[in-house]
Amino acid sequence: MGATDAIAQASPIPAGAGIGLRFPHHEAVATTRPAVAFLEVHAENYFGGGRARQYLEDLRGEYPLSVHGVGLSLGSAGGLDERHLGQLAALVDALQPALVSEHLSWSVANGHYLADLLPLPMTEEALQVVCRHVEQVQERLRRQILVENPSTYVQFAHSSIPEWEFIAELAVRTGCGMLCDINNVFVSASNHGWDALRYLESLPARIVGEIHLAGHAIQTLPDGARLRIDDHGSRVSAEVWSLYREALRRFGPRPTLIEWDTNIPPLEVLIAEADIAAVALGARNCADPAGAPHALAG
Amino acid sequence: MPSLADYQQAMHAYLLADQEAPQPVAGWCVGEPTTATVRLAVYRGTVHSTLLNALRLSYPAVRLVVGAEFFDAVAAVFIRSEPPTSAYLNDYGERFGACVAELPTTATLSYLQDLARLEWAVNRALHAPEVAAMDPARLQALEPDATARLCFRARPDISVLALRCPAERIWQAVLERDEAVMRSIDLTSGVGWVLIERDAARAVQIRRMSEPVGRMSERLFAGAPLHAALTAADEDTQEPELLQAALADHLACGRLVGFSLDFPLEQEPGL
Repeated sequence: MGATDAIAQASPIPAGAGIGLRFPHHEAVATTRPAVAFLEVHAENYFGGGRARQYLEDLRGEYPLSVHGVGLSLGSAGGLDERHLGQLAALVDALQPALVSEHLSWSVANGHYLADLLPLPMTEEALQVVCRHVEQVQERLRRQILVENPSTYVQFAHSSIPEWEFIAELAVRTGCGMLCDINNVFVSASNHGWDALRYLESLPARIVGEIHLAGHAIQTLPDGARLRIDDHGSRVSAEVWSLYREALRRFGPRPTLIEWDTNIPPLEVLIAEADIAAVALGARNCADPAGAPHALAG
Repeated sequence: MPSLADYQQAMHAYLLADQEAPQPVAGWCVGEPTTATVRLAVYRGTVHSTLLNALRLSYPAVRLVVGAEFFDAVAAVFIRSEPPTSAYLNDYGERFGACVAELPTTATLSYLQDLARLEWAVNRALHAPEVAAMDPARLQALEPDATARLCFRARPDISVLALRCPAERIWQAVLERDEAVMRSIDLTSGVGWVLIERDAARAVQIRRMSEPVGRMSERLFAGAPLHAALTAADEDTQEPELLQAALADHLACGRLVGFSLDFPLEQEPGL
């Protein structure tokens, strides 16, 4: 869009391991102040007030924050919901998070919120729609956002752009960064027969501003095939840890988040997962080809 | 090749329709349509489970009263007929309680409608945005004859309800699964007014009010001019000082966040 110059770069966030802050852990995090590098919250869970918002307000002085939207619907053909964007802008203004991110997906049609991150056809039309909306968000927030690669269960026959090229082009056209979800890369690659390593190798390292890790489930289809479901309901799988280490070798250290949204375990389990990521971040045996982790695409 | 809008229209219809076949979307997917159907069902399942969970979180006592299976079945119909219009799901389902309570199957549960209304008010008190209270001193700058034309705006966490039963006692007993208390509650008692709000410690408070104060507060918080709120309630009481005291209490407790003169606040931002 050429508007990069007018948009502030995301503030630095340490290239350490953070956790997704969920309601069941509010009290434990507030009480124990665990040694994690940052906290990430789903934006829509804090649009209101009350105790949840108060916990976050109290914790923001102790931890760098990342605000992760799940309902803006960057891929909706019908345009962004201005009210939702206004709520997000108010939250970002109040919290001043280090990072703001959203998803390469859609969830709104006919004015209805379809509560999932739905798949987009990878077409030039979809790319133009997402670019327009990312520009709109960045201009409203006056800052760069990161866009997360999706986990998908279907591909469309009329898709004409590989997902990794779609994301790289999105970054070029809008100046946004990428939130690289390694579990999503693995899930989608497994479901569609892609080469996950090639996916990572095709991404410009400089656009990756954050990494997500999570667990997934496996469902056996009637034809015997296995479908991996991105349910964020278990520990990170061994394959995803392995892919993560490859990603660190390629991208250099990046803020890394452990997400756990269903079957939420005790906080200690979540922190133990974050500790594994922290060890990998500290032990990576490679040069950082991208320079500082917050030096995103320009 | 479908346009993006055509695809999203078709997916919208599939996700919310009472049908299993994701046509024509399955035909646009790579692979056999039967396989695509199974894969698309994952999205449909997530949409329904997420929205069902939102309704469960807002109406835990109603769900315990009517039973999980019945609640979930009604919720499935509700989700299809009235899907959310916002991703802020704490706002989703205001009408759901009435939908459950007005069914022929639940008609014998005379208290259910009030319980559902109370539970939604509690949900609102838990999640409404924080809005700073107005400084009562601002009222002193008004001309004396302007006072009667004051229209107040209430804090968004506040609800005023007229109840036909002791819904707050039922609500507490149901959530605590206290069968003894449930059996002891006289359903013909408890007719009256309650104010539900979030206190400074972010806890939900439910306060009983006299009928005149309840009527006045309901109108006042809905944005009616002060003279109209006082006059309407005054017909029910011979003690107008009660209403003045209640108004002073609302101001002192920070329940009012702004005001205008005889028209909605947002039309007069200068005040």
